[in-house]
Amino acid sequence: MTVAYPFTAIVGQDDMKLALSIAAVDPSIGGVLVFGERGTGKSTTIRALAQLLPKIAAVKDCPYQCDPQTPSKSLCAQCQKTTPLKSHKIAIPVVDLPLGATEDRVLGALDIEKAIHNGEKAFQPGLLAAANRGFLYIDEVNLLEDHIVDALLDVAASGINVVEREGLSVRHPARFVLVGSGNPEEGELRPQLLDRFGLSLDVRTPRDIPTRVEIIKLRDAFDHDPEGFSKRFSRKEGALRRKIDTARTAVDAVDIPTEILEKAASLCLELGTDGLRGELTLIRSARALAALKGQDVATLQHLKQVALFVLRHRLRRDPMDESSADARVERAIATSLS
Amino acid sequence: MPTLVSNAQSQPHSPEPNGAGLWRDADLAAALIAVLGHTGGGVRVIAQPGPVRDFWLENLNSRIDQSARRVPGATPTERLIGGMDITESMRLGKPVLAQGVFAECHNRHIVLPMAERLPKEFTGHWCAAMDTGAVKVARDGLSQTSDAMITVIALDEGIDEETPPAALLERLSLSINLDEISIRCVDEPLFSKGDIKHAQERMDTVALDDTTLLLLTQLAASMGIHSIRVLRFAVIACKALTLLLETSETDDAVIHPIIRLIFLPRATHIPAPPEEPEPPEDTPPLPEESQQPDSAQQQGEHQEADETVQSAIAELPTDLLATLLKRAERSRMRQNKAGNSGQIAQDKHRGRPIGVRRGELKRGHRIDIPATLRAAAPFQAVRARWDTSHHQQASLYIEPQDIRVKRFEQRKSSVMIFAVDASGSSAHQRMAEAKGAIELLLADCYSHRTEVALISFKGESADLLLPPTRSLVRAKRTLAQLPGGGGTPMAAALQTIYDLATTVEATGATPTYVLLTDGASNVARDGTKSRAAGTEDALRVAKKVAATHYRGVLVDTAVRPSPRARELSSALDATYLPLPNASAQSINASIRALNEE
Repeated sequence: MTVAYPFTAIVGQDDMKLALSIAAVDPSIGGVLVFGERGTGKSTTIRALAQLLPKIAAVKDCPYQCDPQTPSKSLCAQCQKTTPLKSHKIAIPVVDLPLGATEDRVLGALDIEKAIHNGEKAFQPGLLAAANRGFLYIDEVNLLEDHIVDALLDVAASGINVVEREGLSVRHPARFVLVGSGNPEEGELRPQLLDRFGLSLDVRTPRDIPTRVEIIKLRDAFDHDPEGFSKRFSRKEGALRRKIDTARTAVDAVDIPTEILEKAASLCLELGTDGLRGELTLIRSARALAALKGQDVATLQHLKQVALFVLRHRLRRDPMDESSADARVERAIATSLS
Repeated sequence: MPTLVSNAQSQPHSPEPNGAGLWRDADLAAALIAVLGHTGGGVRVIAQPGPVRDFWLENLNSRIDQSARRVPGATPTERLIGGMDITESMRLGKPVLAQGVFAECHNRHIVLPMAERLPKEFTGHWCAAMDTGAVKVARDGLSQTSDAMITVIALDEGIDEETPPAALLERLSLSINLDEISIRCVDEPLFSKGDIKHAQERMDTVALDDTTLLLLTQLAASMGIHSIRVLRFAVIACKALTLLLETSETDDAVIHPIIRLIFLPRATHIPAPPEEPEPPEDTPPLPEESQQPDSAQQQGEHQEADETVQSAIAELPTDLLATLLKRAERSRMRQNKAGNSGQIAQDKHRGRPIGVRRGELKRGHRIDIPATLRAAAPFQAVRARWDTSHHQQASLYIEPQDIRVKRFEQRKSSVMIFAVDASGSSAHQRMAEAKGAIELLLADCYSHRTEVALISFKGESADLLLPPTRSLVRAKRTLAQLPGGGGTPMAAALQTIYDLATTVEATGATPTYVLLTDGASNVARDGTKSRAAGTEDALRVAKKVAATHYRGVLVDTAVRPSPRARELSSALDATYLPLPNASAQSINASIRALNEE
């Protein structure tokens, strides 16, 4: 419980690791959805990400970890009034949304204690406040209660959490990367929520024997001595952390040639994806990947590598179409991105 | 004592009663889970309630520090993971968290009775606690994480198709079946509490050699088990077993119980039997995905492990494999509905919570205390001032308009059963149109998230081609491949509809059926070809179906509306729709109307 399994010690699952790294580089991509069968290490990988994230500057004592560098209008109400802002370094928050969480804890609600004792109308921030500028992880996202999903969707779209309840009227920034995992056998995900994830992937357990033996060996070594094991990987972890950190600052400067923009557009057109969200995510993901690789121009290769993650969950679903979404995307990639 | 076990394992065909070996396995499972505790997840105990199961539980309890605590599957979320302690919160005037059952059972064993009835909405909580060894609470204005390393003894009393939720089963390392064990075979535990303690203390000192690891990996692959979690279970169970048996090497005495307790109950296919003459370059009977390591040394290791796989498989009784396989198949079939059975759909205070609303105190409503307190909080000062009663001032003023009640919904899924007459008479006439109509209906089912099942009847029997599924692609493909020809075994078809519909209803879903036929019944129940006997049998079964009040539609596929089909539909108490007038849309509309009634 105390030490999480190191991200770099995860054998295989390269797609999942890549997608999570991309989302860490550019939070505006809009999160990652990991669907897969049981026992594939979905939760392990996502929890491992938390240790890998670089530190960020935040306003001291702000419940929403406001960024002291941003223009004042995107700060929370309290920080807007305060000058000068005291800043300190914090770890990027990774907040777990546990199953069975109630709306008042997710969105925040009236602080009962203060209200009853002092008659004071105080807001008790919820999990969305804690996740601002970080990650919100929902394990078993397909089992989440509908009314919580609705609330989440709205906040994820606007980046602002508006609480109008019990006489309170609070707005606070809530920009977070939504990371969800689930097992498709246990229930479907509503299409609206599906679309909200920037990247989506389908994970399977590695089937070849040597890889499986390797996984078990490493896991065994970890269970035996978690601290020692993590120390063994600390150099690798540090290297990846620096890579992500560098990419986070470099991503805005990555150039996207017009040709790549056109290719992305024609790919989305070919697949008939709804709206512009797919196209936008495609470009951003390619850019983040280029930044992650230390390059300053996004190429066709980058686009190809992210296209499946970005588009596979955005196709209009035809219940009678026998070909899988993946096959359709791959076909379109072959024709449009050649 | 170690010798005792290995003897039993190496002589599966000994003359002693069959149950004795099974009991030893069960007893071994109890010892293993006592050693492993939380890391082993738990045990699935397939057994009807009875003395054997009681004895097994007693044996388990005698070997663990604190007796296992019984937690019914219906225990609601706030009790499982914890929630607001209402009396304390009222007393102190601030939210106080009450620990849930999981946190209370930290480092303990939990007995989950009737695991096959575990409601779907609670399964996630059990799984989360088993995975992380902790419970995270974010409810009622409180957030907390507490340790909850629980070990679950899931009592599975399911008969026929009832199985515990697949997500739970995945997390229970061991599986035993006590149903075949006679009370005479029941014995005192092989390992004492001291043995268990001793093994537990040394768990960290055992390292597993590469050969065993490879062997376990190959065994899992050969039985089609892909989950890494299961493989990890096997590895730690293997360690625990070597400690219990006090052996230094992992031989058959260790591997065989692991196969029986962990791998076999999950096997998705029977491993290929060992081939008699074994040329060295022969590929091992593993799934194609498995890759061969390149180095010669690894190859040698591989070979050795491979032989052990073969010998281990050869040891297994084939009928056992077959039954286990059937069970596995069934549990896969039912995965979506497992544990959700038999609940009343309109129940006001069960199901998934869907939020809170303003409400009143009346029967059948559950009050949401935190929400109520929040609603009352802003008015406390005002109400205290206006409190003109001469009694002592109340510490909290709650008025009717503050009351908030919880809202629940229980989703009732529905299953549409298509029964298609593929007999010669029907097939020639309007089979293509019937298929077209069904395809349209399928699209409608998709948008309503209805599951579909497909029955086809011709010749002498009716077959369930497709058990209830959401996969319309499968339904469509099955339909397209539907062969035609032969007699019309109407009675058998109706019986199959009846059986399937009752099974569907038992899982808590609503069955509806669509019967596409020309109504000509010419095969009787016993398979004889006779129009009179066929019709008579069909009408008899139809009455039985009618008595269940399942909603249904009979689509007459004859060229002209046939009186026989009309007669059958009135016996069935089903809506009659002749296909000449019935476009797919009108069938659709009438079925929709049925569902909305």
